[in-house]
Amino acid sequence: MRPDYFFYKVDNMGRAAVLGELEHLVLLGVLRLDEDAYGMRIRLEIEERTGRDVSTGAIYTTLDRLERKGLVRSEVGDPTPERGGRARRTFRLTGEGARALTEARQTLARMWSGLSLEGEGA
Amino acid sequence: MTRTPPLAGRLLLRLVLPPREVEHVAGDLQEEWITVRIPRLGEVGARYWYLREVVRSAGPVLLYRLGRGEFLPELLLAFTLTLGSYLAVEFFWGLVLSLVPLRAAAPAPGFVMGSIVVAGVVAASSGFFRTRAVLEDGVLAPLLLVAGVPPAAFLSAWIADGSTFVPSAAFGAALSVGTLTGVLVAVYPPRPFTWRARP
Repeated sequence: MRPDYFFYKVDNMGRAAVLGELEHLVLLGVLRLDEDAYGMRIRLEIEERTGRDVSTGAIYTTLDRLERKGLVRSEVGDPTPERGGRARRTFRLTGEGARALTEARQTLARMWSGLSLEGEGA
Repeated sequence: MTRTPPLAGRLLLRLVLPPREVEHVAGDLQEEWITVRIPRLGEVGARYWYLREVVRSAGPVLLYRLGRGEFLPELLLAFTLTLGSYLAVEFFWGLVLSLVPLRAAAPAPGFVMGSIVVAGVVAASSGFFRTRAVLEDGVLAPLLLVAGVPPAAFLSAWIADGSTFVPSAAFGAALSVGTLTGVLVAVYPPRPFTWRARP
């Protein structure tokens, strides 16, 4: 275990991790894609649903950070021809990741509660 | 129709990413390139997309790796190399000029030459290690064979353990700092340290 990860764990013991915006989107992508969640699919999922063209590098660094935080775990699959014989690294949400997502959703709901924007729903 | 992504993109990817991630990220990019981008954009457009994707990914990846301190040993080494060579040349000229009556000769050209030699050695080493690091693609192997370097198969096996990135990054960083130092010294030659013995 790396020292920075250890201190992160201690600092955040007992509470869900706070998610950045891209982390939030990537975690939702992982949740939505289930067993088929890997870099390319997550990137396309975000692009299709939000219109945001996130770079592969940004997705890779975010997934790496989430894995170090213990919010996702990865496993390496079998090589496929369309990938030039390279293996695929798929990601799954962990219990802690699910807790962080739930916490993020509840936080947003609490903040939105009782608010409305002008013109919304007209 | 070729089904290989652009060489420049693949090489840049290999230089930027840590070795343990190259396979997965390159695989992701190649899969998207073949299954999504070529049908949508055509062969030429897809090649442009691949290059653009690699270039715009380089920034976040490098910043992330810098932030995690992955290049710290390499940067320290580069700093030590350049500062060490600077101090060595400085001390050498200071000693020579304090012992030998060469004050009429300008010390700056010697200093500049020394720094440039150091930068040159670092540049050559960097070039070699970086070339070695991308040999897995097999494209640059003939160049090394011409240069008398051992067969590519041997080098590829050597590379396969993924341990080449550290020296390549180290020499890359040293190259950058060394070259910058050489240029700065050439433009602004410093005054040598003069050591005088007590009478």
